Amino acid sequence: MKAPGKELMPAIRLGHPVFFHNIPFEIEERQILREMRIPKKASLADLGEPAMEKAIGTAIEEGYRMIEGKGVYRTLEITGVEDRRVLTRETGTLFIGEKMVKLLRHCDYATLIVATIGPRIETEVDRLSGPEPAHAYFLERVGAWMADYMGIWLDRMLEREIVRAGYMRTYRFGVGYGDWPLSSQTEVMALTSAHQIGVTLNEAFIMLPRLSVSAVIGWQRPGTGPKSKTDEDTDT
Amino acid sequence: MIPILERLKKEILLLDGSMGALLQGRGLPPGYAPDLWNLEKPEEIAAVHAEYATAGSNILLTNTFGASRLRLAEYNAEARIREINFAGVELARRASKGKAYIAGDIGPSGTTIAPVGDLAFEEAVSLFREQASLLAEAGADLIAIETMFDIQEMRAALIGVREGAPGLPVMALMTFNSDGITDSGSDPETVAAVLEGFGAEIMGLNCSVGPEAMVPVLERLGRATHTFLAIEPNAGLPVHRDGKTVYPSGAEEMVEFAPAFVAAGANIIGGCCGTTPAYIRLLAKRLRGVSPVPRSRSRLTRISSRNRVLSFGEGVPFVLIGEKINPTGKKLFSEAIAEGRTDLIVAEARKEAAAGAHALDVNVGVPLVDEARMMEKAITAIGNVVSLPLVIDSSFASALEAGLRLYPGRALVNSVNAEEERIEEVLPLIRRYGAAVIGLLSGEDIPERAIDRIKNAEKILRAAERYGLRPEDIVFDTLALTVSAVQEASRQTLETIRILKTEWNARTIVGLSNVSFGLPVRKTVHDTFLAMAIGSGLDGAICDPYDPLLHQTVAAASLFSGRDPECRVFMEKAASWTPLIPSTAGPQPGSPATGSTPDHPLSIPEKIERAIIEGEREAIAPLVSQALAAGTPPFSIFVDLMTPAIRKLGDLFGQRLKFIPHLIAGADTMKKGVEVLQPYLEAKGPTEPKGTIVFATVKGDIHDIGKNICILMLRNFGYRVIDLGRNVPLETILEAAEKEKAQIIALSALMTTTMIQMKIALDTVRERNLPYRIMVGGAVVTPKFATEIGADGYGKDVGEVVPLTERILAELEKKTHP
Repeated sequence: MKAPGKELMPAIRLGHPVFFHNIPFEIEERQILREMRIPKKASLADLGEPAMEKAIGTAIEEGYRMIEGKGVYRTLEITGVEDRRVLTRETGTLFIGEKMVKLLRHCDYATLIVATIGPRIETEVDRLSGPEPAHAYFLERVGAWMADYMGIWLDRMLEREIVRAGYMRTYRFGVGYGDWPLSSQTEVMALTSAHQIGVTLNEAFIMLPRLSVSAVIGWQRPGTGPKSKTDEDTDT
Repeated sequence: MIPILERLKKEILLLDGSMGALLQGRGLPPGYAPDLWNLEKPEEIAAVHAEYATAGSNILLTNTFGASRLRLAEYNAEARIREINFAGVELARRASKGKAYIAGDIGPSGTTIAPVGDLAFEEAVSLFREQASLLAEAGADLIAIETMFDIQEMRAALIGVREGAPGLPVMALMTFNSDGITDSGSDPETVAAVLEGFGAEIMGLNCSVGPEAMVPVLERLGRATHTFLAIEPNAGLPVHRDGKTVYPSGAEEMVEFAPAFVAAGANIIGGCCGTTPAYIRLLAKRLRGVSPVPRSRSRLTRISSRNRVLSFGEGVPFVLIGEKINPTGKKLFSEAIAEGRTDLIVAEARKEAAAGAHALDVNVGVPLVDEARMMEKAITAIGNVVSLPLVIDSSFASALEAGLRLYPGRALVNSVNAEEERIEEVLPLIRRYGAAVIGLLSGEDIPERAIDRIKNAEKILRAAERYGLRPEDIVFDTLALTVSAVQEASRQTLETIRILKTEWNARTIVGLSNVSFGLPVRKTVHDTFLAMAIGSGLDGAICDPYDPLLHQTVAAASLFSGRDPECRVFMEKAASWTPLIPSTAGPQPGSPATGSTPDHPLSIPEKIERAIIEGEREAIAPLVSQALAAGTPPFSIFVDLMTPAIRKLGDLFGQRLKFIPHLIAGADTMKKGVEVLQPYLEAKGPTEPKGTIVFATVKGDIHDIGKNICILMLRNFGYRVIDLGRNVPLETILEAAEKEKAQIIALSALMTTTMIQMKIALDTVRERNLPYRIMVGGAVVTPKFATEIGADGYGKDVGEVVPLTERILAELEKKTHP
């Protein structure tokens, strides 16, 4: 059943995936230091350790040369909510589990997002793992943060669309977290045509490139349901 | 009727308000395309237009916002594109009764545009061209492009409209968020620079947010451009009230913002989502007799990236354009381009930006390379990581066009000269893509005298006017020639700059580095020339941004040329400059670092300790060699120097004075030191390992960076580790453990879904009564989980792997030899 408020909705990109290539990016030193669990430092210079500054700085510069940010999102219209699943026009099997129902119960739409930084960093990390393990580690941490960054970039792009339509966004819920099975990745990949941004799955439903994220965000009617807790976002 | 642009010089005109909401009130079903009603319910469309015309709208927007081929295809109505757009114009025209201008309305394509999006730029241009052509043919008085979130899509729309509806004025409206930027990150100043480049007659903003948040954006646009401004606010952001979605601001509330709009420079005011004829009626009443605020024309040349503007001209900071993205004379750079790689280009762009360049010249000309394709790749790759405006530089028009097409801002093109052939191939591109151009003052030859260079400037300027360009679209390159070859010509360059500045008020630039060619102390030569040129009125230079003297010269010369009021920039920059002549006091390059003093330089053992603790990977191998050369036994270097150092690092980690990256860098440094010792240690015969560990990432899991670091750590401490890699089946692990006579199996997992493999491994080892101890770790593994599955040990991170292994082996030893 349609929510009564939908009659006045501005156009929402429904029914097809929306792709983004060449996502602009900046690799923030502060975030990389957090990713490496070094607290309280805002920049590499704050470390006061030239060797470490150089090693992490080199990984960051390589990141700039290797990252190819890509993403896709697809918004699905919610048509019904049952005890343990949420239905959309396209699927009755994707949004399952108690946590998912809790997330989307008060939503009119759910948007799937998939983002990646491409394969080059992890190929290089694999190559360096044996001969240059520290370098491999630093580069992998850069890649891990930047995969998140691409997800956040898409998230923010989507959030503006959600706000313009008079909704609030829910928090971002990652495939494989809580009681949302990792096997749902198959449907997420198919519905978003994620192969078009180079993301596929292995037999264990892990995304390849590994430095990719996938999640769902709900379009929640204001004043209903759980509040957005972006700090607690989880994504794969 | 008086042409609309004439009226706008003296009057504020009113647009209409929301069409969609009124049509829904008249029965338009949810989710149905309003544009189809032009054919199916024309009387309803005409009635809405008539309401707005009666309320006082001077401009009616046709009901064709979504009537492009791509949008209509969503309703299988693309075959009716001509009828729908024609009907849209006709219905508005009829309702206006000759009293309102008809603006053919064009909305976004509904998809994303290259290079960030999927739709090829020229396909987008073609969509907009087709719709604009139909609206023009149907008799629209102007074209309105509305609700554009992405400056790149607006560029495509403007090109399409100019080509499809030549001669009609264009009103180009972007949509900004409440933070004052568009979805694609452009601020009002960038939008103004780009739209001015295309010669949009009217620019402004519509939709998205309410009037309050729009006022500051309109004010910024008003300061950034002299072009006529239009604004169409929503009646606030939509909200849900009593189960319905409504726009919260009423007509009375909305109209209170009209004076602020006028003060900010608005020439056209209307409404977007949620606004009504009642609002337009109040607006007409409130603005009766009110005149637009005049705004003065700027003579600056502005270029921009997607989100940053740069101005050339008098009174603004001198512009440094980095020259380093150019393969001339660079073997590796040329090879990378020939292979289609952009990594070195990106690295150079990052370096130039960090060095203080304000814009980057991009030249990818290598013989036998598809320069157009390479230019596309370079422009895209640079745009991903650097927000500086770009100068697209090529001798081939095809490469210039390829770059201009993909560039989501207003580029500067390098260059046109006074040759007819070059003029004819370059200036149409400048016009089509709304760019600015460097006018090189050469022709068939390079004139020596200033007077002849000025003649070439006149020729370029006249040609530019023929192509519909403005004087502000050109920055003249006054030709800085090699002073050692033609000394008088360099003096004439300064004279040319002076004439162009004082008599034409034109903007000038030079390519700096050639000036000093063939002379010693080149930097002093060309930086001195630069200071003199700035004194003559020069506005910018294509130069080496890595030259510190150049930055200091520019900052100092700017003090004397009206570019740095109150010396603020100079004082700010001077604080961070290092003296160009090194001080004789203080440490010299290569002097001992932390821990050493002139009285007590560090010994080799101390240096080895410091290298491991500080992760000085490049320092360790020579230090170990020095220790060997000094007669220290290899085993002693390993046991007495390196192992205590890595243990000390572990202690510092435990005290949270060092962190995981330090552990890893230290371990890697130690590994490099051990590699030097290895041949000596092996020559002494095999050494007994402290224990054997089979290490694997469990089946189904393909993450292994943490595992690899743990292995590195263990090996440094003298353990024998068999690394089985990732996604390893249990049977393979058990076979390896048996074959290698391992004491410990170490398992790693990063996914909640693969952790279960650890339990399976433990259960199997217990069931088969195998002798191995099992330790587990990985980002998702918790102490609770490890306890639940009965693991013999759990390591939180790499810092715990060695102590954990030592504990497990000690327990085993105790059991074996109690």
